[in-house]
Amino acid sequence: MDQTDCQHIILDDLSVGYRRGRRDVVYLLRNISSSVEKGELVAVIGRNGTGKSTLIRTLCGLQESLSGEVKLCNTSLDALNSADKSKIVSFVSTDIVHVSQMRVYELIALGRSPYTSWHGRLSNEDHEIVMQAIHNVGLVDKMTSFLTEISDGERQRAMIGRALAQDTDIIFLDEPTAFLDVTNRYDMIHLLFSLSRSGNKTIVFSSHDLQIALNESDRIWLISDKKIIDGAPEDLIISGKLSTMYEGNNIIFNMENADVSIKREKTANIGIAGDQDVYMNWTVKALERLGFEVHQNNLNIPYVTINKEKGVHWILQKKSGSFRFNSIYELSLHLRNQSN
Amino acid sequence: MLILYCFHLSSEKKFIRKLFLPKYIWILLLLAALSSVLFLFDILTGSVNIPFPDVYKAVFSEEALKPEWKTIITGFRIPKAFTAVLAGLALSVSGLQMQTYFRNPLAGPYVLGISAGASLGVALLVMGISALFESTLMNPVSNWSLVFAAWIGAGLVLILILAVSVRVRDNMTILILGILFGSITIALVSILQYFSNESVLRSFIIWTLGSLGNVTGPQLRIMAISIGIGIMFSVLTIKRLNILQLGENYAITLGVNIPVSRFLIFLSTSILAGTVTAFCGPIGFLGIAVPHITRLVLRTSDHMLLVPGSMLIGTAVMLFSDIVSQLPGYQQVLPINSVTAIIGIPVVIWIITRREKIVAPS
Repeated sequence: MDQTDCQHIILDDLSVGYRRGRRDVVYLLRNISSSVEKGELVAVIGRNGTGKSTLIRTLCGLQESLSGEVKLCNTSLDALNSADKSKIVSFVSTDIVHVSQMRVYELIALGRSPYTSWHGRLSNEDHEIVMQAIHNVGLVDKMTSFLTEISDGERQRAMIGRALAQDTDIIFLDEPTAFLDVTNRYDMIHLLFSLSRSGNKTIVFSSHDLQIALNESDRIWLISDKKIIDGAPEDLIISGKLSTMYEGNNIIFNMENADVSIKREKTANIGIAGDQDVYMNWTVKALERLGFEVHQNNLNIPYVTINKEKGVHWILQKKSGSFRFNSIYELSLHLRNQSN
Repeated sequence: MLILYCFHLSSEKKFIRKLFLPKYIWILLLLAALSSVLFLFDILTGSVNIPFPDVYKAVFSEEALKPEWKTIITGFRIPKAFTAVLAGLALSVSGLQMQTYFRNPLAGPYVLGISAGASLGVALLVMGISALFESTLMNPVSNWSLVFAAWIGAGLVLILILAVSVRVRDNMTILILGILFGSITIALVSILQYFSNESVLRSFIIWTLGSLGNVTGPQLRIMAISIGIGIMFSVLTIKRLNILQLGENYAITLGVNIPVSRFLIFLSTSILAGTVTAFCGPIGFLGIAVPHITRLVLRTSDHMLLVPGSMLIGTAVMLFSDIVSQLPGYQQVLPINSVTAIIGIPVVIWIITRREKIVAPS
């Protein structure tokens, strides 16, 4: 086996899905070809049920492909036995593992099992690798804690630590950010990013967290219509491919900032006047949420001005007179009551 | 052997192990001491009161004492104590393996239907044959034929499960199939019971109550060898069990060969539980309760420690149950199955109410 080329993944005319019974085959992805370069961080994104997890499971050999093949180290995945595979590829899943009486250190040490003999005892070198992995995922002060005592984010980090201890060139992660709060999600993906850079690991993860995937990954595999659309995140934004993910739904994809918002029916018009600043931006956002079409500097209809003298306040100018509000909430309350 | 084992554990130099290991070794040595004391007590107690010096003489010297005492000690009590040790450790290790493999805190040697298979074997022998030949010549059925019938019954269920498990990927399905096989077997046993005459039924019922006292001489040797082989296989599964705690997906990606592991685990469990059931009858609840007690005492998930821990605690619990069953000071003896149930069920209730999670939601 040529170890130098082991960070390179090739998908050759691969179809993935599952079989129901003998005849019935459900294809989720059909005849896809791609490759992942050494040290890349690839995000697999797509809507629920499009086959993100199935693709990841197929890539790490947990599931058979329907046709075509995956090549690691220039060898077909099918030709590798599970012991060889476990030294090239590691896997982190969505499942939160609850094992009673298992400590973080013991969990991460299980990552060394492809290298230990039948009794599973660790050598001093193994212990050093485990310590390094614990250090890399930032769990040094939690390593003697039981898994039942740490948070979901820490537990997921521990699972990644276990994959690091496995010391494979390739890491596949299925929804590593599911169940995590926003801060933990960013931390998690940033950890993956730095691992792919400093550790020179090839990392492929699935996620439906578009924002985070776009910010940190080198490359996106967007699953759409049983194919993958492949490219840098920015390529996919510019080409408008990402917005196809939202077609037919009440969702708008904003190409400027890759933001996603809900499509609303505009039922009334309102004007706004003032400086282009953070107050203006968020006031516009609030008015849009209330169903107004917002017109900049149009003072012929009811309009809102933002006054920043003596504390910020909002003034609504209508035919019937002007109203003063101390917060966007008060303004929106007034507008909502008026429309009812 | 235990000392060698402790030495093996402590030979690891890294600090993290040093942090916990001495504690584990002390606990294991303490448990070994407890088991030894209970073993001694088990020999000392019984319906006939024999003072300690005479027990000592009966074992270690040719000095004349009441000949019936010597028979009681060497012919009955000592084999019974050894049987208790073997049954205790075998059922506990088998329960530990089942709980870890199925990641289900309520799994035990019973779930695969092994004990039920053994019961069917015995029922067929005791009641089926006697019904077929309309004779009472088969009664009392010799102990040996009972043992073989139980073994064959347990073995058949095992072969059935192994055959199914090659086709089934999901271990939950196997667990359910095991329960179903067990239920069918029990139904068959009930039908047999319905059609048998009173005296035959009685000898079967006595078998189902369980007994440690019927294993003597050559039988004990065979039991010891079989359980030794079962334990050997279970030692081979230690590393696999540790990894399987994370679930099959992680196990596969960590290089574990699932079919081979499943075969080894089922084989050793069946040898262990099947042998005990064959020689002692179905003994319940020990296999479920002891692994939980062990996890709680040792506070580890490492099977390198849990396997010997379960063996020692299982031995202690079984010896204790045997001492209780003899009702020291009374002439009567309680069925061992009832005693283990009375000791084990509170533990099981406690597990359910505490909902101890050794399972991953998957």
